[in-house]
Amino acid sequence: MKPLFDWMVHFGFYPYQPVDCTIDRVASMLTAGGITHAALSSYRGLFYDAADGNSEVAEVVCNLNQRSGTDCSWQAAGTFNPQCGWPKTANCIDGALSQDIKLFRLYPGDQGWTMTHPALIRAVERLNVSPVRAVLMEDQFQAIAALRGLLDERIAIVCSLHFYTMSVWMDALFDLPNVYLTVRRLHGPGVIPAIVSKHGFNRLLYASDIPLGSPGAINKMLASLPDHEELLEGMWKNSNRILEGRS
Amino acid sequence: MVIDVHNHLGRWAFPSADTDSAWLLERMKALGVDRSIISSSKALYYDFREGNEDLAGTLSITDGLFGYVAVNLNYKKDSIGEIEKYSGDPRFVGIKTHPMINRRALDSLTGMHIMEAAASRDLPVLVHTHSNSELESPRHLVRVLNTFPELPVIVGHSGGDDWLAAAELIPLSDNVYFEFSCSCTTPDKVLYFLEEAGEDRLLFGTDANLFVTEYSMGLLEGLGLSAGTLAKLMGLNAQKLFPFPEGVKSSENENRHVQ
Repeated sequence: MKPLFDWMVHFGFYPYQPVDCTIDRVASMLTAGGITHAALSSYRGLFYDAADGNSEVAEVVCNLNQRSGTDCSWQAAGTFNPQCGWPKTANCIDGALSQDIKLFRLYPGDQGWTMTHPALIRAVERLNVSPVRAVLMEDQFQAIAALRGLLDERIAIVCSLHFYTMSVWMDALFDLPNVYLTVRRLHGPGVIPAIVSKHGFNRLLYASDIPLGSPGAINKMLASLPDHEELLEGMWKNSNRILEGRS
Repeated sequence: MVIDVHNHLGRWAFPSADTDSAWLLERMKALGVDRSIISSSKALYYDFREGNEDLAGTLSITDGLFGYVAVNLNYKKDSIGEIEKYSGDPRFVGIKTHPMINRRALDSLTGMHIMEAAASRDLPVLVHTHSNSELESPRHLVRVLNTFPELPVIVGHSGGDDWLAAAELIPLSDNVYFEFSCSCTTPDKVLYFLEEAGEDRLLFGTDANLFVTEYSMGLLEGLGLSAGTLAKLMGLNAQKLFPFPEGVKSSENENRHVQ
């Protein structure tokens, strides 16, 4: 099996639809989708308490890595919610770093804050002097403008897209070398080939959005591309480059 | 038999490639899709009469390209006129409406008149539904289903994220069907409808050319359904639902999803 790193996987409880998000279900979907490595996030952290979610995902990832074979591995993606104010945000980040979390996933849209939130600005300053490798952004219009000059270039920014913001982020690939796009919603005809033609395979990452998304859908979409094998290899190399801090 | 009940031709204001019927036919052949039922994006976003006319120029029974007559919920007389104009054309097998783009609710007075015209022709109506705005809510279908219980209605995208609202339509009519093309369709969503609505009221749609055809197909194929259930979902249900002209030649892919 070829290695594949999935940048968008969650577990826990999903409050808005009846979806089975148990870790066993998630693991079985990953296996069925041929996904060998994943950045795992906790819905508890997104929807309820970031610090609790970070502790949860750190523990779950530790357990999963202990029982996984050498061909599979998991990375914990922590989070913080600037809406809680700076003291809580700072404690949350420090707690995550102490648990060896090196990826953060942010949810401005779901949590109702913007990229200009003062607690976010201070949080980014803290991330810039930490071992953090990447910040995974759920889609938001104003993110690009706010992120310019804010994040250290050694930290990769991994974005999940929507139709309405796709062109903004595609343009950002030209002048923000540490921005990567996930293929999760790049399902328009010719979108991935257009990115590959301008940037090679260097700026794309695999993401399934398990358990909400379907790896079957993503995999069939990717398999239809003429340079499918090169794309998979490129996404794997990109993932490793980010995780090793060479974004 | 594979029938894609949610297709488009025309352009979109997104960074996707402009495609045409040749592209669609190539994808259909590559993926084993026998028939596609198409609406014009120009008809949805701009002039529905011009879009329908464009579409009529590309439809071909022998190639498996069928059409929806697009209506505009702000234009009662002209929409009914379009239904009358194309309902005798065997290539047009349904009606398409997009309340969000029209900025008009399906159960508005105008919408109800247009649905009455659809019901009189016994043509299935594909209704865009989603969770992004109130206008797209599946709840706007309640009045339509209650008023025209014999009208076959396809709930496009099955409500998007708000699919539980779409599921509330299941007991209202035996003639309500569910289609799942959407970025946000979860495997659990399809399985839920399978359990609650049964395997005879689910349809395969891709939302091509806004999406690549493979996306929805891969999702449904990855659910682990029995071959018989998958065959119904992928095409047999649509074959029964739509008034395809008799004697339509089928492609070599005819039996691909039949047990």
